[in-house]
Amino acid sequence: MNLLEVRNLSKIYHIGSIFSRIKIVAVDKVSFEIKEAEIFTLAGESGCGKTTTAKIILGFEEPTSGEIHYRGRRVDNLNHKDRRELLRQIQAVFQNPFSTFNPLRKVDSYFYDTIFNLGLADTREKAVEIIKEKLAAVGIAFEEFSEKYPSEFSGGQLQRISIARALLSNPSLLVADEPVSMVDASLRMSIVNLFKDLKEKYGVSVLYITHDLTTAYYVSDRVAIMFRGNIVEIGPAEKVLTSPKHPYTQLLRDSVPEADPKKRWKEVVKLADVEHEEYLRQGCKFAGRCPKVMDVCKKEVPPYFDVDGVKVMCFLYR
Amino acid sequence: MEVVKTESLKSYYILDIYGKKRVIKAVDEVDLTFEENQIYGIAGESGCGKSTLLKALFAAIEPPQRIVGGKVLYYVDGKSYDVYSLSEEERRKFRWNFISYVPQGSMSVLNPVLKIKDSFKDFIESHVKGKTKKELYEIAKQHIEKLGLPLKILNAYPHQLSGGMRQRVTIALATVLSPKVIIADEPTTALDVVTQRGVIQLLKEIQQASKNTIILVTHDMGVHANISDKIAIMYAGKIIEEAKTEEIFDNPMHPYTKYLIHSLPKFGDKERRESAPGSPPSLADLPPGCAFHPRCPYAFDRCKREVPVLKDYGRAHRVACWLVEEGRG
Repeated sequence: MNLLEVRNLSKIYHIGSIFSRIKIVAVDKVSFEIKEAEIFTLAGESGCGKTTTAKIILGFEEPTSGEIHYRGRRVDNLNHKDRRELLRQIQAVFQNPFSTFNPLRKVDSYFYDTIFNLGLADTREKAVEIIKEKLAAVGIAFEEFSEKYPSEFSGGQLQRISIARALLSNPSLLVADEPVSMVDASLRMSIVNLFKDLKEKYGVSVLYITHDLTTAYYVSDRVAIMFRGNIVEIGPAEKVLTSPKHPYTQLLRDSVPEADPKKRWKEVVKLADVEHEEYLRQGCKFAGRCPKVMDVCKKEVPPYFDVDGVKVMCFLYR
Repeated sequence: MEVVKTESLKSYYILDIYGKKRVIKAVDEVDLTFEENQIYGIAGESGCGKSTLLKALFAAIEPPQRIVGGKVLYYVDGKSYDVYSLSEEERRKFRWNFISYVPQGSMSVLNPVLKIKDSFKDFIESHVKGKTKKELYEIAKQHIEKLGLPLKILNAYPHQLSGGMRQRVTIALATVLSPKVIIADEPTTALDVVTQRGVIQLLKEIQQASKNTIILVTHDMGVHANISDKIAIMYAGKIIEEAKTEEIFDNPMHPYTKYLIHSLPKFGDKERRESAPGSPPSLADLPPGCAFHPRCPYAFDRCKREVPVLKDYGRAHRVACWLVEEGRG
């Protein structure tokens, strides 16, 4: 059974005044599933809807339509009590560890609060035991952690601590939104490796949300590429990122600057001048920049086509 | 031909907190030479002093930042000027005409209530005297056209443009007076990959067309691999390694550089990659000897006592590491 299933999820925002309202479809009929002990990546550029999707899964935003199922049970319409129950199972790791924690509060107080709020322990001794175990999983010693303020840690350490906090309730799914983009370059891989270890040792699934395709390739089992609200390509990371099918994925994959001076870019890219025009486009939203555009792309929204185990939303594979 | 040079440059932040003096050694004994017609990359993680170095190069330092020692030399029309011995008025003449600066956040550069063309007009007006409004607009128009950006952006307000376009407008603004040296501080950091590629392309085109020098600072080694001709690696306020791009990627010598390059994931290779252990030190409280020694798995006695010097070991490859000096590397 799938751990999490997202079916036809949509989120529509309205911007502007009453006279000039623009409808932005931030998430457009998105469907995917996450299996047990799997790292699933939602990758895409800013404004593609990946964070909105994560927020809906975590219950921070109401979906406009669509369903979310956790272990076969529908969870997008839960009442307050059931939602709290669900939060034990699904935990979040945020982008900026320095804004995750209040700078004037000691970091360990968050741990005790989480434990007592979720009813994971009833005495302080038991709580300390749980904390020690979770800190060990992320490679931080309890002694160097207790009674300290966020400013006393480096970004990498603090991000590990926020992962440890998320692990307190033994969740089966971590939703990590850009967890490494604020971490120093020399420490980034230690966080990415941690997700890998959590999956292998504890069977935790991770929804990894990122714009960084190289770490996505490194860590994930399956990956979905999002563009302007749609998943345009979804499949095993190995296939999607080494031989991308959708023209957008190809462009994205090509634009990653590889750390190899022998692979410098040759050809020139075309950029969108004004972003919201692409959200409003009929048919395929990438048609305006696509090098292989056909007449049908400008009129109809392409369905998914199965190509070599990968689902691609593009008429080229009709 | 060199255009900008630093000689054992030291730039510290001197803070006075409740009568207690704190010294942050953000740039310490830096010797760099920037040549004409080259893209020079400076890499390092946040808090290593790279932005401080740029401010010192641009001669735009404000307290608490101070120049404590050393020199910054500009080579203009065959003459050299020691920047910090000039008056503020003389320094101002070099700024934007000879050396210009592309900052990191493009939103804070452009005035939000002015159209792009008026930002250009104001900017050019303050450096070129005796032009009519029409002529100033014309200069802006020609420059935008030359860089291949759409002309309609001149009539737009900053918030109407996408992040990538805004950053390219900032670059256009910094290059409108044809400076010999362009300093770019993390110009692509907040941008998406496709947009980043567009911005890098623009920088490359400008450099190739006008044969000037770009000093590019970013922590992203992928960007450096793609655009820089030469790279310097900065760690805790010092340059620890410098070489041609290909040389540094093929043959990194400092253990920190090795971690930096080998920890980058690549497509088609899922082999486990490790980050450097530990965390970067605080610039206010540096360890003795080599600043990297607490994190370095190969550190020995000398590293804990003496600060290694940056030395050329052939092929214009400079490294500051006792391992290399003693042939243990």
